Amino acid sequence: MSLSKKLNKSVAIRTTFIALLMSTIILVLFALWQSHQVRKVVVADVQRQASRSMDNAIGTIIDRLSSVETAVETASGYADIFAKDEKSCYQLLERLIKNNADISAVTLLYRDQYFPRQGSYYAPTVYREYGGTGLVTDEIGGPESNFCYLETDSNWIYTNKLRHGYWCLPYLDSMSTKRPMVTYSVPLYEPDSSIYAVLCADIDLNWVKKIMDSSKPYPYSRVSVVSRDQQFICHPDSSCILGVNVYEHARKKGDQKSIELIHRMLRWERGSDTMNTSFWAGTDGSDIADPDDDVDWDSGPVIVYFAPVGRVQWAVSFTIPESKILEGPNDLRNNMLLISLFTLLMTALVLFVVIHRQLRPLKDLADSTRELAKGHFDVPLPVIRRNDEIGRLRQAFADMQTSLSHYVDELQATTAQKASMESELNVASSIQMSMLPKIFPPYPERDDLEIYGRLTPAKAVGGDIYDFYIRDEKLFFCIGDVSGKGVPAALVMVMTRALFRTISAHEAAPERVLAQMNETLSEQNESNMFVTLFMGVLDLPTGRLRCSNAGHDAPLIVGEQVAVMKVDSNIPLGVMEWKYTAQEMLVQPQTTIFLYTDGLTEAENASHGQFGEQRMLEVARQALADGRHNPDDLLGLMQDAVHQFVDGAEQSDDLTMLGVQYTKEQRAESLQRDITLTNDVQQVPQLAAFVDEVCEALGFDMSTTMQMNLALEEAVVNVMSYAYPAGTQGDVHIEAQANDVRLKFTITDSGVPFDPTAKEEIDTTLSAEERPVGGLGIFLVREMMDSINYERIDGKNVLTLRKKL
Amino acid sequence: MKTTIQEQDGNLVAIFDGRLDTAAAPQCEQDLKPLMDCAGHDIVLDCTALDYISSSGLRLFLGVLKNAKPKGSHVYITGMNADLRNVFTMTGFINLFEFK
Repeated sequence: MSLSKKLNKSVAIRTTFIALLMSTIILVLFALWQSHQVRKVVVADVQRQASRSMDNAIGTIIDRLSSVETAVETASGYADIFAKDEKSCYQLLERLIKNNADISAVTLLYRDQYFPRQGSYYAPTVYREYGGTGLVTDEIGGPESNFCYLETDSNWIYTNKLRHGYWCLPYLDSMSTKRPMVTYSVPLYEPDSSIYAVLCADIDLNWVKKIMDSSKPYPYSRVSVVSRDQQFICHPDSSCILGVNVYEHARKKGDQKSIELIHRMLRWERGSDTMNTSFWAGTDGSDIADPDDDVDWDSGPVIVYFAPVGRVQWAVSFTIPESKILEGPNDLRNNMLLISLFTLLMTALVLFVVIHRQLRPLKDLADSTRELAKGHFDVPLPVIRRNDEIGRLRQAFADMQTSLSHYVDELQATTAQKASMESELNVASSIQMSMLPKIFPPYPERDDLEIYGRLTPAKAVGGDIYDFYIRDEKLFFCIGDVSGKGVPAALVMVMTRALFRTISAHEAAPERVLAQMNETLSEQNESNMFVTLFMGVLDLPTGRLRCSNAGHDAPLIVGEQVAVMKVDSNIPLGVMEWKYTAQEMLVQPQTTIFLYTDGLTEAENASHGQFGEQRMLEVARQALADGRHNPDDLLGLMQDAVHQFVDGAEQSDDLTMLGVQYTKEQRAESLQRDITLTNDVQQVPQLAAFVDEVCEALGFDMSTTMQMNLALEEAVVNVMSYAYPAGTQGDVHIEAQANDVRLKFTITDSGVPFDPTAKEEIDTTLSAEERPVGGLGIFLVREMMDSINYERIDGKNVLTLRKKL
Repeated sequence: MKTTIQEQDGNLVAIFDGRLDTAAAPQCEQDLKPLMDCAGHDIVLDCTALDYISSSGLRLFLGVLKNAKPKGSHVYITGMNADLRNVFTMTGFINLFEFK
């Protein structure tokens, strides 16, 4: 697992990591800053220290040199007493050397031939025995030495020219010791101010090194003293002393900075500079093996402090390796860093452990929540006895758990309630749909009628209605649309259908059926629901259609051509009292009456365009042209056209269609008899004779003949009794027609309109006491015949009885 | 159509002969008047010779029954042929009368 993944996975690791990172950055920056500050302080301190040491050393050197100067000057004051004599001059020298420990040798250099006896360049000298305490007296001049000190241009005799005390350039002792030496010379004058001798005091310069070493600010610092003739008087590498030109030494290293430094030193400046270590390399460029220091002079820069010794024109320097100077601060810094790092690591560890432990409840909480998410609402939450954020979070989770479980319970209850409501609605819908005729073809046994109906509700329970049934050879049919939708509309629809059925059961005139329905629906219509309804009554034997419209869309007649049926629109049912009008027409065989609700013409597509009457008419025309205008095909084509038009848009209104096709075929009558009676029941025997004759002609058996007799007698007596009010006279004409499928009696009279089929049915289950005496006649007709059919045609009552053969 | 009333074994017996249609019903109603006073006697309607009955005839039968029942008299029908019996069945009259 990569670091970033780990960081993302654990708050403890991330927090610890960030804390550690930030602390480290701050610490490192602080350490650097502090180190810089300490360094500044330390460097300043070292500089002070070096400066002081340098002053000490220079002071000491100058003191020593001064004391020598003073001694020599003093001696020169009284030199005349001893120096005028070639022997006594030794007394002066001995006295001088004895009183000055620093002086290693004193010499008197006389001018040539000063003591004629002694010859040229007499130079008595007294020097300390090297390695011992005794004084040695010697004469180093003379012709044999070929030395003429006073006249050569050597160091010694600058004094002669300068005419005052003079420190010569350091030199190596010409004797075997080869010690670095320097000589202070003072001229001795004759009374005429001419110089007759020079008093020289030689000083062994090894003490300079001792002084310098003892003044070292740090034991590991290195010292050097450079003379004005660019020679080392003092150098850690003794081979460099008075053997190497400092410039050459530096140039050999190709170190421009060293040359620059030497320039400054030899300009007798005081200061310090930082440079590399090559300055201190030996003559051959290698480091000097020095057992006193353990400094690696080859690595890291060094700081050189330098100052002049004015009197002798020397320059002293201390060299300190920077690493040593900063050893302390660096050690301190390193220690501090180590300690800090350790502290940081410890802190991080503790932080990690603490955070990890503090956040552990969150992990448990996360586990519980995951369980909760699976739907286990009773999962126990981890116990957190704390009042901090995590404790509060746990409390919040507990609250959430409670409300969640509460809500889910509520949701379940609501869902169950909704489901039960929906199932009730479904039941309501199926009850509603079951009220509509839905078995097609509904009259497979009939050859004079084809019907197809279809209702597609927009909501589960719709407000559209269609219905039809055949009573007494009349097809009662209707199509309607209840205002509004949903359950209220469905309730009104159910009521409308019930009214249609009950009223039309004994009333064959559609305008009167509508009037009665309207009356009932208008009463106590507080919800102001209304119904548009078209009702038709098709007399199947004759094809006469009588229809009445209550504000509904006029049906289409799809016969020889497609036309909108001409009907009065009247007003919808349930609005107010109204006298409905009826229209009558003769329907030609093969004609289809297409009824629909506005769900068809107002079917909307996604862009709110409506299917419209024109499209409907076009579909109907096309169907007619293709000979597919039978109800089944026509409704199918119409439905397809609507589906194609709406293209998946949600259905906004119930869509209901009903097609009624009249398919009666004319058959040749094989028997035709008729008789005319007056409205006198005493003529029943004549009727019986007529019926017997017809039955005999058709070869009916006794039993059937009796049934025909009974039916005809009841029907005719009924007409005689009711079509002609008491005391009026009139004829009753009875015609018998038979073809190969049925026997038909047509009873025609010119009496007042009287529809015996409209009589209510009798109840045959009542007891003798309860049975009314009348009403049996029409009941018996219905029982005996296959159909009874009433029509009022041309001012005549026409009652038709049929019996299948 | 001929209707005869006889008294046999304490019962009032009405014997129908012919077609009891609407035309014959008024005369038949007259002929059946003696049956109105039937207290203490059961009534037997003998239909052995009855060829035909229409609703008018059924009304007469119902009239006899409605008169006799409150007086505690039974009305029996005898000898009815299958076709007529069928009419009685259709109209529910078969439940009203007792058949012998």
